[in-house]
Amino acid sequence: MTDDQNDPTSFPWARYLLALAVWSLCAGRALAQQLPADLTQLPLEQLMSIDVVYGASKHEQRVTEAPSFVSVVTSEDIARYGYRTLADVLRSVHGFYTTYDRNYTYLGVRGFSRPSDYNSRFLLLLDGHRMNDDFYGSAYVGTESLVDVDLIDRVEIIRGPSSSLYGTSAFFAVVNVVTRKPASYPGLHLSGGNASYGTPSGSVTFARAFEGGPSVLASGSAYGSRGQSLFYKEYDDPLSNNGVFEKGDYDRYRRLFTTATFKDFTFQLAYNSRDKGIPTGAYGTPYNDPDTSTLDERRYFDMRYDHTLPSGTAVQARFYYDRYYYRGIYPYYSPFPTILDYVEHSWGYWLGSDSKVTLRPTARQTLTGGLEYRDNLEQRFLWKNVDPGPVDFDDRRSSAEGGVYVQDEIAVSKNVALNLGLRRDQYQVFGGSTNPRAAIIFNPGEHTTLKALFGDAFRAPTVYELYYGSHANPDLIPERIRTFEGVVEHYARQNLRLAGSVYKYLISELVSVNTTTNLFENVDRVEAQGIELELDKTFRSGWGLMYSSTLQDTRDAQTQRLLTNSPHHLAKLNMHVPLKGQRLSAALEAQYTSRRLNLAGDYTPSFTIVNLTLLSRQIAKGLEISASVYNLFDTTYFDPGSDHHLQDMLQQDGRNYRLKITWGF
Amino acid sequence: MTVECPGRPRRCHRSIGRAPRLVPAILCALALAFLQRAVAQESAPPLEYQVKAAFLFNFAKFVEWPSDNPRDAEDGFVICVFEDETLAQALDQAVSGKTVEGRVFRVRRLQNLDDTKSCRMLYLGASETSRLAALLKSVRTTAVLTVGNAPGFTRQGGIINFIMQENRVHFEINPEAADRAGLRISSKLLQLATIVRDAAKLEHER
Repeated sequence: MTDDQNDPTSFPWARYLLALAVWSLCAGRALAQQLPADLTQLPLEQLMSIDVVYGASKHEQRVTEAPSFVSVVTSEDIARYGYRTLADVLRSVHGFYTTYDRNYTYLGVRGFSRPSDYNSRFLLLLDGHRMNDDFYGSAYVGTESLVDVDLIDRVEIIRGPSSSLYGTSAFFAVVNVVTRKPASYPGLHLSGGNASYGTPSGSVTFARAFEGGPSVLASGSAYGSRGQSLFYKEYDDPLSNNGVFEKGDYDRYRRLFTTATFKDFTFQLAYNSRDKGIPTGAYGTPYNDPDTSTLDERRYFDMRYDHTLPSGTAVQARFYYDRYYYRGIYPYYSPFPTILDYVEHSWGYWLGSDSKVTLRPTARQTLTGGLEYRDNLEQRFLWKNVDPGPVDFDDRRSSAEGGVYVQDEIAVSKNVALNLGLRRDQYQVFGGSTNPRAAIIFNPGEHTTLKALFGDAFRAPTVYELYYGSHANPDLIPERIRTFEGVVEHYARQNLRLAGSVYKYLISELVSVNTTTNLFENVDRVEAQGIELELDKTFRSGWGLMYSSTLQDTRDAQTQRLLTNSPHHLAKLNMHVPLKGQRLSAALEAQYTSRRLNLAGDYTPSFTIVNLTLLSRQIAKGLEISASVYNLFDTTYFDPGSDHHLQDMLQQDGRNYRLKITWGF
Repeated sequence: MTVECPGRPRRCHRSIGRAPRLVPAILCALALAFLQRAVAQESAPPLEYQVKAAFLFNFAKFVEWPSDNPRDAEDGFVICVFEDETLAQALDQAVSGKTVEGRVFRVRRLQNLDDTKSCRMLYLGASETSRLAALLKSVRTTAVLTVGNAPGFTRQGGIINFIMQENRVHFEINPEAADRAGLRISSKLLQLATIVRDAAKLEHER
């Protein structure tokens, strides 16, 4: 092979795009406002959130406590850009990219996305509820995720290590999904859609805020995609249907989500079930056998109490019960042409409770402390070599874990603040982890904020890595990451926001398969550095523009080899244009991903994907119509395959469409 | 022995010809075209005034006036502005051509506070604090929604008052003043407002 691993990817486009960003900065004229011309169109809540000094920014950090580089995607963005899943939302945000193997969608953050790893290195919260399961530690962002994007009020992406607050999984980022309050989405909403590849979907949502306080939201949705008939040349052989996989790309889910609030209490009950065929011949399964599939189900009950005492002290207590179920059906030849089905199941049931207190002992200090406890009531793994047939393996485990944390935000002087946090987690199984974080926030001027951050985070080994996987090793210890980061944010005039960060991180005890022992071991170390830039501008006429570019380099610390599936450069552009006020608007999204190394030692080529959505509201009362074209230019592009694929890279979808109609009354 | 778990790792070292590198020319061209769009604007009222004007529009939507109102619909919905030309201009732009409950919005600039009969909503600029109490007393039982912009406005009997919180425009509501004026304020507004009581009443309770 060539010495590609040492070839620094050339960055001509990167430089061009960065120059463009600078140019647009200088070209910015004295534009008075950054909001739509007609503010009376905005709901009251939004009027109340407009910063009349700096102008409204969709990236305002209203509720985040993390002193790091935060991005916020709102429900307005989700409707405008035609986002279908949380993966679409996260792909639009700088520094994030996804990999899809026609089974699950994997999220890459800051250049890290090892093929075949589960999404266990970022924490996904839904209204503060931990969504990472207790079996694989994975968070779902594709069609396999639990919440409908239409129910989302905003998504807050908090980059950097946050284990000092949240414990395990908050390794690279925390993604906090906040759902809509019933008061802001009142009445009945019926939605139906149809998309390419035989994909009808529908949902019904009812929400009501009653006089005197209680409010309720209930939503049910279903989706059924027939999928495509796919061709993979690696299987082009008469014995495997000449490379054609006919009916294996199906994707079906159903979801239920309910929230009720009453005084200081919030109750949530949620469920989803998703069944996906695996049309790639992965895991050495017989090609063109549509039985190869995975089923994932998640359900939970969450009850929360939030109260602010007259003294200003805030108290929060939460109690939850979660269930996770997975079933995988993997046929195999025994021998050819006889096919038998290997089926495995995993169950996780867990119960947890956490409490948090926020005090203001002095005007300059905010002290937060919390306690978390989680009991993994049962973690069970079962398989049958031949299904139907006798059970070959059935094991159950249980364990408990807990954490205690404290965070202090101190206003040292008028423009300097300190944020210090520390958390200790203890696991019955393997011991514990202590994680600190420290940040300085400095405002040299009214319109500029500088932050310097240092933090540690960890990822606890999962029950799959310890006991149940084929490389399971009960001696695993947590992975660790240490991050240094500097962030700058500047509001230029009232219409342009610039933000950037520079970071460096070092991962140690990374869990990988040791090729000699064939077990998971804490063997690897990874070092990475990067620069992230974002610019955000809204024009008085209502046009909006956001551009981001990230450059990063992620390598194995021992061999200095570039990591697989790690693109040096990501650039994203989002533009929305009101064509006829509320009645018609267009939004365009372009995303560039530079080439990525795959497991064969080749590069999966770089590509640019463009998506276009037309949104019409108020053509008739309560009617919203959205028409989207994804991959507008029918670009041929690939994501790297993983260990369990014969293919080194998997081709992604060509141009596809979606029409969605929502009727609200 | 038995098949343990699926997913035996298998690495394939086949080399696949590199696909041609895609050039994101579209991305740049679009961005350039977009950024070259010249935006020449006349100066508009400052954002704070625009936001307040938008609030006034919303107050008209979320407040109910008594139905036996002698001022009939042909007069439209008159918002009177006293001593705040900038806000009046912002209001002109915000409400022109719009209607509420079938009434067309009209903005009137008041020269003095004697002629408030036609006003459904009366906005008082911050400068008149000294005469506030007297003025508010004179309109207190009439169906006029008084909106102010000065500390203590609601305690003296004004119905809605703008307050600034961390550069954001919020508002206070005195529900008793609204009751006296015969106006019914929607719970949607009440939920978002800070509720204030009459100073006079507090004195009385002591």
